[in-house]
Amino acid sequence: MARAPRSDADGASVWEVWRSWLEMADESMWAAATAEDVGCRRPAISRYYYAAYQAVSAVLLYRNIPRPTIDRVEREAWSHDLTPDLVRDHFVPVCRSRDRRNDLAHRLGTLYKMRLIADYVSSAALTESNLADARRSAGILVHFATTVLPKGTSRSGEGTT
Amino acid sequence: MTSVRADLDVNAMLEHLRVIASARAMEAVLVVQGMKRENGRVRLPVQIRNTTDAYEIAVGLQDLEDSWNNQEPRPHLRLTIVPAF
Repeated sequence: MARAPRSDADGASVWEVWRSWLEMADESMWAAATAEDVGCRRPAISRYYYAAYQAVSAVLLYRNIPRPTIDRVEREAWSHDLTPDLVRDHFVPVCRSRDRRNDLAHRLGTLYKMRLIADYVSSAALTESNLADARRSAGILVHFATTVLPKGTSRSGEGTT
Repeated sequence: MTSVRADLDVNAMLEHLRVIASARAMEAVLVVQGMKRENGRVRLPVQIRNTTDAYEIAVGLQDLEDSWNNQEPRPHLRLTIVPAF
């Protein structure tokens, strides 16, 4: 995969930004698992979504995809609605199969919908099966990002060499 | 005694993962020296050697993790797998 430039117009290191997003994803996965362990299903689903979103954002940042600007301020990442489409369009160098890119994008989109229900719809019942689905999709997306990005960049790599 | 029970759980988990990986013809290296235990959860680095395809690795690692966590009855010890390289 083509390497991202070392700095952007503000002098901030893009390299460090994607690395930070991958670390955020790793922390979110652990937080989600901890919430799950103590029986907090809704916060767990919400955190599993953010883990997936942060992992995907790390790959997009690494690929140096143009970031959105709001009120002339460049954001670090993309809207939640748009990000699954960016996976379909911009993951080609890291996932050549369109079906697989669609699967990754679909997982992220479904997780987002589940997260909105978990955070905002009190009347909706979220089952153990929903939680297992969220955990699985988030895990696949975080594993994928960790695998395609340069190594030794998150807690995931500790003690494994 | 708690640590003895925890060790037994960890050993059972590692054996389970080896059996599942073998059954699926997955060359999975469990990096036990990189394993961390925290509050009833194990964080285990795993390397899959027989593919370099990132999607296949991601799904394979998650299949392994799910094969332990989704058991009935629910295991006391919970597992988080992270990719190892």
